[in-house]
Amino acid sequence: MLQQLSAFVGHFHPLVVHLPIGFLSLLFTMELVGLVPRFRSLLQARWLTLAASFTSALASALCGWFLAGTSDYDTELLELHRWTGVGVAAACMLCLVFYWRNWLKLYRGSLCLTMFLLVAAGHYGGSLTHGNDFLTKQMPAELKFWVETAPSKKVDVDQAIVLTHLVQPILDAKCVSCHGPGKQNGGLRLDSFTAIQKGGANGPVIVPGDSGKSALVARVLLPPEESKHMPPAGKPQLKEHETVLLSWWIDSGASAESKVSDLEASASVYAAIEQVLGAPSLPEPLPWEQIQEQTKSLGKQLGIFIRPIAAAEPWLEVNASLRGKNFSDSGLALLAPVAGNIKRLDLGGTGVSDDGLKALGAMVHLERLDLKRTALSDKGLAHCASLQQLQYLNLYATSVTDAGLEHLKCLRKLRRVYLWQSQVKPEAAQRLAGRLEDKLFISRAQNQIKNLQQQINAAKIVVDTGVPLVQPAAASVPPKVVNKLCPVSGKPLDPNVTFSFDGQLIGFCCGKCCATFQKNPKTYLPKLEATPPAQQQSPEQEAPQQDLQQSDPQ
Amino acid sequence: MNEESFALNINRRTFLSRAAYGLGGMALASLLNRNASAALSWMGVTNPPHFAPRAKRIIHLCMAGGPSHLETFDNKPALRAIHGQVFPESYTKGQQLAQLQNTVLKARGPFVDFKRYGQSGQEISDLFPHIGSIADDICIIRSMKTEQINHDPAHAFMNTGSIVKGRPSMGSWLLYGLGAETESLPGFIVLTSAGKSGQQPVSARQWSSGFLPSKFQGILLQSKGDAVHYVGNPEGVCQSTQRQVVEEINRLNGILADDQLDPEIQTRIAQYEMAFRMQTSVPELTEFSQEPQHILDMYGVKNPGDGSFASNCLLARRLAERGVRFIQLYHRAWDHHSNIEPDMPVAARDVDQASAALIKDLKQRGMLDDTLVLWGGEFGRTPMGQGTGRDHHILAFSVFMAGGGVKGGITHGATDDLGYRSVDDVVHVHDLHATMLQLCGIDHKKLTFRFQGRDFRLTDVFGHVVKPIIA
Repeated sequence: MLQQLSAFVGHFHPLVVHLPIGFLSLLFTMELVGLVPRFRSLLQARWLTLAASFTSALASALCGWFLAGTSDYDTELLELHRWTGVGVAAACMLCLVFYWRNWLKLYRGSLCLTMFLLVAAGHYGGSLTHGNDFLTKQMPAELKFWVETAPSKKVDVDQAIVLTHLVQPILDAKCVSCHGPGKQNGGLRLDSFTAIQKGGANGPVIVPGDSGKSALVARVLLPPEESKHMPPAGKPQLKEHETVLLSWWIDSGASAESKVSDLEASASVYAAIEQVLGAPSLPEPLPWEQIQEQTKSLGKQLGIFIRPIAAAEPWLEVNASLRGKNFSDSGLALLAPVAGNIKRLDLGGTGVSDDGLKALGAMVHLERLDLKRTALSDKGLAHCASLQQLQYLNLYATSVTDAGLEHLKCLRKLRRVYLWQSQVKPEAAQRLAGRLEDKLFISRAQNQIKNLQQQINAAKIVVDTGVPLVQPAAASVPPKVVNKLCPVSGKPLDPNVTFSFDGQLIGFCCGKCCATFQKNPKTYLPKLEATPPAQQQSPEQEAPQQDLQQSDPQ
Repeated sequence: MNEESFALNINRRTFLSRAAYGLGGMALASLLNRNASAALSWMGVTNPPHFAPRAKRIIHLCMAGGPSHLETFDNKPALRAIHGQVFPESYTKGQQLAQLQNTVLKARGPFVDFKRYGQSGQEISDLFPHIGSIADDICIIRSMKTEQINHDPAHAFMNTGSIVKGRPSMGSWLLYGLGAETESLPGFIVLTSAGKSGQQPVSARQWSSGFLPSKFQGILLQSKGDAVHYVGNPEGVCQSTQRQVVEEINRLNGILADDQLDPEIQTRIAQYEMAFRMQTSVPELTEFSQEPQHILDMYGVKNPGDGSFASNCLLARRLAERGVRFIQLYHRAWDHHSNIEPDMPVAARDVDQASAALIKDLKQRGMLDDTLVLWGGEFGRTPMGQGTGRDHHILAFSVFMAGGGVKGGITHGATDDLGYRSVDDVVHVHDLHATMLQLCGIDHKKLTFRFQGRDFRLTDVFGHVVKPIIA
């Protein structure tokens, strides 16, 4: 009850908190303007404003205290906000006391202190609700140098050492305060590789190659309400990408020296790495205005289809397949000036050769590449190995072999590879798929589905009468034909030609007979009865048919 | 003389009085300068496209006559249960009927069973086992709705979004908007075939370019025999002589164009060029001997070029490979007012295997990613029986789409219990048009053409993109 009451009061914090901000700002402005003799009279309102400031500051500090107890904010920031907020209320009380005792100098000093604390508390509070970077997110790039500290020396993604650059920083930020030089809860230290290997009082915390069995990851993945969940409730939690990196490091052997390029990283692991180290920068495309003329003249000169993929984008789509074998290496080489702008390239059926595909190296933004029905072999495919953005690759009817696919193993964004009528064996294609598949994403998504299924099951109502529900008679059982020979011609039946009449399914030898029958069924009905029925009908089946006939008004 | 040509004439006078060479002369000059492998002359008005296109080309498998949704993709057990009984009046009261007027309306249950196919478990009738085998690649729309209850206007509505004559077909709009990625074949090609029953005529106005310049109209290829009549040179005429003839005719046309500023003369000049290039491209296109036997078997083609739907599907794939923007196949076999039980399975057998084979073939060639396939008729058929068949029905019918940025393995929308009316996520023909244009990178509200004083579009003043089906 008390808890509920405090939560209720706490939720008024965001409402009340704006009052002291307004009152105090007003008071401060009055004091400043009041320095000019003409506006002296403003100061008569000091008492009122001061009293209002103090009461509202006290009220919002109280509400805030209650609110802090109910929710799970970033603790570090929360503490800063809590104490600066309480500071505002305290400093405000000082102002009141000093003004009451008429110690004006002290009063003015403490008012300045109040304002300072007010700005700080407001900023921390804003960061709590809107996020740390809310203020500067939309800041123009030219102004950003004001707020940004000098960029730390950027580590190249492939050269980054997994433990040093990716894993240890996570442990340092989230674990070492309790498992480090200062404190060693559970006898565990996580501030160095040897310490991690050593483990804690309960044994080792990592099992290289199996994050599922490693306590370091398992404890993090426990539901937050479990007492064994780490970090403990109220402490800063691991973010999604941090868990991904931690599990990936352990799964790939938990070595101290491995670089990113040494390990296999699926797309979502790579996304997590890029979240920490930043995406590798690709050269910017040329602005459309700059290449507009060139694009048009290339289209004319080469007789190919070349144009921006969409309005207001610099990206180009190139289709040279309409030139067939008349388009060759020399044509491809001519695309060099706009190479950095090409996202989709169709060379299907053209006369390009393995060597000519060297030109692909400059097309770093390429997403779709069609090389079907070209003279491409493994050698030419090597030029695709650096196309990191590639999503679609068509190699149908080329002489690419299993060995050629090796060139594609690092293209993490690849989602469609067409290998029909190439020399690639299905096993090799499967291997490539297995390598590029984002297993981590798939297993996470499957877990989510499982959780949802459990929720669905939990939401279902169980009613049990102890008697199984009788399914309505399956109407989908196909009715059997009643005759053996065609009533029109007397020939054997075609199983595909049937017609239901008066609730009976009648078979015919051909469509023509069927049509003849329908024109004048009465003529042929006696014939039908003359032929012996193919199957004795059970009385249960007969009954509803009779009903049906009775309901027939004709 | 109408307003526009009058304005044109004024322009011509002022223009020609000041310039020695008219527009036609310039066109001809550029024509004479270029060799047979010419650059693309028409890149479309939507250049660049409004959005990044998901589909580069569309293949419309038009099941002319209106296949019954109740025996294709819309399983209605409740209708089966009341088979032969009087159809509930609450559904039909005050609704438009085609041939069932003034008769007692009786429910006709589906005469086939449905099965669930693929991982997605889509329900498809037993008449279409091959389409069942591609269930995970197709998006079934069960909640289609149109406005026209007779064949010709309904086809016109499906093609142009209007029943008024003289409106451009969707293929023409697409060609006008995006151009084609070929110079040797027309960008909008039509093929027709017919089944053994349920045939209704389809008129050439269905692929007309309407008020758009006539170079955007659909070109009907013969499904049987020579795809284009007289495409070869007459005896004794060699290719260079033919070239000279074409150039001379174009020169003369150019003089005419110089004199009269008529866009149709430009069209004629372009068509002569196109026809000349088709003399080589068409025989190559229809050279079915390049197709291995297993591909013919996959489509179920007995004699390539025999005019069957299967042969047309194979040709459609070959057209798609050659950069044609819009390919439309009409199969006239679905107007089953009577004898639906014996006849519809025959019609289904004619298209089932080939339709599925086309999609599989596009897929193995990596072309399904950017080819949008639309399968469906101009309307559906009544859940009420009409003698031994079903009547026309506009309030509900089913189509399916595949490839080209559409989600595979989903069913969108639903009809009521008896399959009478689309009730959930209704997709009107205008919505279908808007979605198709969107997938091709065009904002359907922005592709317009000014005619008789106002801007027209394919979706007129309607159309909402069906976002849930876009991948």
